[in-house]
Amino acid sequence: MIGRSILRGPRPGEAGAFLLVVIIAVAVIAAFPLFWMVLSSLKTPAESMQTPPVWFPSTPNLDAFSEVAEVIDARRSFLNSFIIATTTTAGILITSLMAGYAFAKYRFGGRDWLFALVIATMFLPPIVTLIPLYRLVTSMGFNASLVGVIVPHLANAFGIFLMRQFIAGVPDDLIDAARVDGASELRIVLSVVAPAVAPALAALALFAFVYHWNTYLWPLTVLQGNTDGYPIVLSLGRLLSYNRGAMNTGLVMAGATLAVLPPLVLFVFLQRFFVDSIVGAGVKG
Amino acid sequence: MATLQLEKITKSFGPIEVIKAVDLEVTNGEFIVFVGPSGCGKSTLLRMIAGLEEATSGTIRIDGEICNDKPPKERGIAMVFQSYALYPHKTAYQNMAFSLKLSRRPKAEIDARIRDAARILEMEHLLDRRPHQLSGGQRQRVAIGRAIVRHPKVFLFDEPLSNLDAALRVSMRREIARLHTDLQATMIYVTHDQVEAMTLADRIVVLEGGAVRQVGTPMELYHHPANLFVAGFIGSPRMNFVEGRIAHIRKGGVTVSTIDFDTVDVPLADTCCTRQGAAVTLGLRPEGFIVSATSDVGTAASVRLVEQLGDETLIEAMTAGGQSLVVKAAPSLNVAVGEPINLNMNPAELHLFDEAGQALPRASAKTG
Repeated sequence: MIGRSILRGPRPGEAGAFLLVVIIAVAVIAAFPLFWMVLSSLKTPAESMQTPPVWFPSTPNLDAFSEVAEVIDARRSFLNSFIIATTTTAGILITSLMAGYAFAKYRFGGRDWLFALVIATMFLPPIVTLIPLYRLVTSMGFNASLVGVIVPHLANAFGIFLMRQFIAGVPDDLIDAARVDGASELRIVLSVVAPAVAPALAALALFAFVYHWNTYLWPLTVLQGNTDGYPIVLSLGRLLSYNRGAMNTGLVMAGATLAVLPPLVLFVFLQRFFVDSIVGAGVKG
Repeated sequence: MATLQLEKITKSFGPIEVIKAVDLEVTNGEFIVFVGPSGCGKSTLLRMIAGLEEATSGTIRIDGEICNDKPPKERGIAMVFQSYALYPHKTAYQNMAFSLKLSRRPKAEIDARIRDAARILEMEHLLDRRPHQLSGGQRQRVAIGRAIVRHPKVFLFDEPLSNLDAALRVSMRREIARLHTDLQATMIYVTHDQVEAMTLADRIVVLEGGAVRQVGTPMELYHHPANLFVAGFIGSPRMNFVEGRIAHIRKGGVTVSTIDFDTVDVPLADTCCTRQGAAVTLGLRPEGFIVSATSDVGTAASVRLVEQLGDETLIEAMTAGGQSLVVKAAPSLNVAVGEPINLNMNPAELHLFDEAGQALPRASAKTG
């Protein structure tokens, strides 16, 4: 009954109303920490420490935000985060598109085994690969630099998997038509395949950008105290240690609010593609 | 315009040989149709000419030049696909311009060629639309336009009308015929629809199991099929076959004894390949029977099905010996299911095939 009402669109009724209540409850629970973070960033230091907690600031102010800029080099940290997230995302899009195209449309010996191997790497916890990857990056001379943070993540098994699934759904005739038209393989990928899987590319871009904007452990390991290279997420840690004496929750919340803004804005713009492609991934290829 | 030669072309997928030593010579401006049942290799052969599949052995020449190792873009071909294969994110104009842009043609030339093709195909008003805004027939026009603008040496069509409804298929078929007359281009067309093959082709190549069974004009194939396969494949409804044995060889023909039709005299141009007692197959198209509902002369049969098409009536009849036959009768013949009729074979329309299924030379010399 509930399943049918979901499939056929909104239908008033007891089941529908119950479902709506459940969805609203889940949404409120999920959004509450975000809501609390924004409210706390607007409170005075006294209000943010009060017990029982004050829900809404009596006089909302942006003092905590200006204080963030005093404690950390916010401009530098945001720039570092931006460089890491955009470069890694661009790399993942390019490598996933190319590898996904090869796995989906080329016939070569050992293709399926190779694809299985790529998929297998998705199941390795990042902590397992942390030390080997660090040694590799160090041996290449990339430690304590942004290059070291970026390079190992320019290709991504999930991205290759996602692209392969979507590109498999692109008709072979379309690719053959482009070959007859005189397009090179690179041109086919860029001018025919990429537009055909644009929603999936947008979703992958969002995944990659948010993940690498928020990534903490890998930059912390590679940068080794080179604070000039710290992305905003690492710099937030400095707000915490600064806060230890002053007990200023508002300051940390202001920093966190700032840090979460870029991926949030990106999500608002791309969420339609995101939902479409995640649903589509289950039925295509 | 160009010539095309296929010399001993083969194609294997692993141990399976799907194209078996195909030889074919296509002259300048000729319209060749590859026809055959599903899986006979006709599309594979076309894709090898296009350069989308590699030939396992043999030589492909376009305008005398060996093309085996050339990529599609260097062969001077253009291809129209069954699924149209239009780029969904591009307008009709951009679809047609894509190949010309890739070959770095000047903008003015690209525009002139597209306008010219659009005029020929009467689709000027569709140029700004994307494929999803076009009907099936309009999409196929754009696909053909995309081929025309390239001024190819050879046009390749891979079942281009299969996705269209019956009425549209007839009108598009006529457009393709008109296009061939206008452009005088060399065209290779793949279809499983023998009506398309018969109406469009200068010559038809009948394929079965990856091998060429016969090459000829539509009328040659209809009136002088080289073997049982071609006889059964070309013509709708298909030719009737009756098993028999040669009872007597005489000058200018043989007498064949059958179960249902007793003895049948078959005129032949040459009887040297026949021997008395040999098993043979008589072939007779539905229109080769003389049908009567009143006469007692001939073989008695009972009517199983009547299809009245207006200008003619098709009757499926069953003889006493259990042979099912489809015969064509005048619309004035009034018979109902279960009623008896009498069938006589018109000797001039008879075909005879030997034990191996090869046609014996007919005495009548009807050709197209």
